[in-house]
Amino acid sequence: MIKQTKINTRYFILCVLLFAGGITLGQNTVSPYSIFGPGEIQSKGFGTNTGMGGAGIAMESGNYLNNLNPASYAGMDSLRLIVEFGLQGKSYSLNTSRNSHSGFTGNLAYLAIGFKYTPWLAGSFGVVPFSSIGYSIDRVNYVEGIYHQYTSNYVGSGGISQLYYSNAARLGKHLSLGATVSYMFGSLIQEENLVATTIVPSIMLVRTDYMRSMYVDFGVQYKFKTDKRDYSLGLTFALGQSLNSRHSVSLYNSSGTLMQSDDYNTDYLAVPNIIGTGLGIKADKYTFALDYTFQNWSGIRYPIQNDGFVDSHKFTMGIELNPWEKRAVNVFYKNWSYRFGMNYESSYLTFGNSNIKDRSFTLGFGIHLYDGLSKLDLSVTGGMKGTQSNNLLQEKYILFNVGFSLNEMAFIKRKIN
Amino acid sequence: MNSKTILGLLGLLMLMSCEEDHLTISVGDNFIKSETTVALVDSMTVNMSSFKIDSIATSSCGYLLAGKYSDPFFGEVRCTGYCQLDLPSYTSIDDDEVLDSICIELPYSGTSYGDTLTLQTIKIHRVLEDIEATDIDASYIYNTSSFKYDTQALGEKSWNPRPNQNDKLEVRLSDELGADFMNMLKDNNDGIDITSDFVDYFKGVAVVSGSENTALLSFVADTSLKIVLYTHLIEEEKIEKSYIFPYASSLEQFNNISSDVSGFSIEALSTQRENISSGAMADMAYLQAGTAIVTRLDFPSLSRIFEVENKNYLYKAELVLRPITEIPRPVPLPESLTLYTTDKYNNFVSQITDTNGDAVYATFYHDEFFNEDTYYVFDITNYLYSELSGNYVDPNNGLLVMFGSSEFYGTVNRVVFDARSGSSYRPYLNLYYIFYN
Repeated sequence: MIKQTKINTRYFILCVLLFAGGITLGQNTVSPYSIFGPGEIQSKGFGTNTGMGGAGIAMESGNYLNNLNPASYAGMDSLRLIVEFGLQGKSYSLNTSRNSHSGFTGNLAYLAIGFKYTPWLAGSFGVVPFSSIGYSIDRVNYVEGIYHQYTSNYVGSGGISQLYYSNAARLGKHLSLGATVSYMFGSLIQEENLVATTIVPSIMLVRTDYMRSMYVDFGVQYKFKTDKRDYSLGLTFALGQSLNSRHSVSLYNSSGTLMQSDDYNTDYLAVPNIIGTGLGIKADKYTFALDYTFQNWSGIRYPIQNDGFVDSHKFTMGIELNPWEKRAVNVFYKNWSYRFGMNYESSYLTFGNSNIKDRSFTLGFGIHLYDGLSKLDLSVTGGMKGTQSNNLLQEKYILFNVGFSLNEMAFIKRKIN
Repeated sequence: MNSKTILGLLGLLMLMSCEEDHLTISVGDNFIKSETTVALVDSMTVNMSSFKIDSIATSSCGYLLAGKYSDPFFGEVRCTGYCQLDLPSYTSIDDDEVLDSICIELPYSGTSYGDTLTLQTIKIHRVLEDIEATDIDASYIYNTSSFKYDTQALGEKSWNPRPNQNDKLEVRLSDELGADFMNMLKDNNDGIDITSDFVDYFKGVAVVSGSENTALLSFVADTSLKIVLYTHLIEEEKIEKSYIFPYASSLEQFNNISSDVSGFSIEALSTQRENISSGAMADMAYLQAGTAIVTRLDFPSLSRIFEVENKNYLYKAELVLRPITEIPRPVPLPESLTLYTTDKYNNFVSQITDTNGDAVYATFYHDEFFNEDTYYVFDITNYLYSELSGNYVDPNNGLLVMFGSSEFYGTVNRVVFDARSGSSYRPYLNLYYIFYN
């Protein structure tokens, strides 16, 4: 017989550790495209949804957390604490018409805790990546006033993390509403190195944006049942806004001495209106999700770019299969969940006539841990972003995601009488 | 898997955060708008003017100048060199020694001005006044100073000088002086002390140009400049002997330097306080050593630097001066030029230095083949930084162009700077900026 005693203090230590670690959420981006805008916008979704290609705006949180829609938390299994954390590895190759480069990076990806206050009110907080930057770009420039060429090397790093707090309420049998308040933090760093020539000195300019901005988004889910299936619809909305940051510019001479620096508050970093819609169908042996996300980037300008952005469209489709009924006596694979996902995005980046598109395919597994409630989610996503034509770059990547979905039960001391 | 294991695993994962060096790639760089601009701003006005310093100290300059030459810009330049000589250190002379001759030896420095292909005449005169400092401190003798000398020359020589081939000029002096000097040495030998009186007795020589000279010659003023007394003694066989009266002291060696500038632009230059702009002097600025004509530079629009609104870093400032084209050049262009800060009275305040505190000299770009693209570049970054500090530019401050080291006092080197307004002639103040956001 299992007797519930008290929540282990280690659980709290773990939480503290998780959030301390969360402040230093790693950046997995290695893409010259991340020089534009606030960096490469990171996909949302924890283990389960990531395995479905990131689809699930209409899906409820169950024994796992779904952060694609803040309204989803209302669907959390009753009176649970759920901890989600994930790791991501990325194997990539960057190809241009002239050269290519490949490598691997890996980092802690996200941390979150979900909990239910009452049967109709639930919430979650955590740290997730919002955007990420990683690039090194050489650009040939010319000295004004004299014919002389020099090279600037731009090296970008950092990213924006989102410390969020969401709450969701179930209103009646069909409708859930949710809202998230986030604090955006982290730093976006660009080093610009002027390569010395006879005329141009070796100079390093470091531009850093220390993000400190609030961000709000909302979600709605509506569900209804038929005899065989549950249907759900989801809608999310985030209002476009200018993000506040402390911008600092420092100029270092060739011996690394700080010659000049300036810093001031700014809000040039803008994010667009984001609208997401989703459809979910759930039956005994499968869950299906289809999402469409629109980001209204046109009209937003950043100083670094020559051209403006265009609106982005993203279609995501995912399916989770549970072909066998779960039983303790089953062969292990019969207790697994199998997930597939597809993703197509025409991004906000357009250079000349070439829109940067991202296509990916995902295969994922959900493995129940000893207690039957906690899960280990594994997924592999293979994708391509960009094009080699027009002197642009194509990025081929394989993402490895490992997600842990730990239920409260996992931390309960068992005493066998 | 228990909670301890999970905890341990997490700790490990948190440490595991790897990242590689990024690929440097130039993809899409044409879509990036640089927020940094490197720019050369050369529109600053540089005003040039010239003035003449009333007098400069030419004593102790190390060179004895004699002769005259006609310069197309600086008129007829004439020099008379003065120096004192000493008794020989070795004076054991025999009473029976017989005078052969007495000569003065002037070692060529290798520098000459004007036309050395025609016959030149140098006269050696005996100075009749004490050569001594005339200023309050009694430490310098000036280019304007002169001392009375005997109208009758001790000796003279007319010859075709080859200052680069021969190492010295030898002029025979009068036997009368030779006999005097020999007798004096004999008296000295007999116990009459004449050491302290020698300079009183023989106050020095003036090396004077002949009236038809076309060249000005430079001699080294050091111990290789001397009077040599040649004698012989007949005992069993003839013994030839010589006694050296060496160059005495740099303090009493100087050059009187004058020029006849009537009809030339520089005729307008009279005092140090009054500089005359290049506009009033045929769009040229003048610098001449010896006669002490100096070029001054002013930057009347310098305060505009403060009006630059963008964030900027002024990382280099250079001054470019072009000498006017002369074919052929009667005097070689100076290899070494430097700058001094100055005030509204054209005083030499201090030589400009770089950040290490070392004096700044021009880099000389000499177009020896076409004689066209020849210019001097001064790195005046450090000077400009100090001038701009305090966010105020004193409009009375300027720069003086000077010869490097002692050239200004011991030569008649000169250069004429182009001050025409055309873009390929005018002086430039090149400001190198990094503008950034």
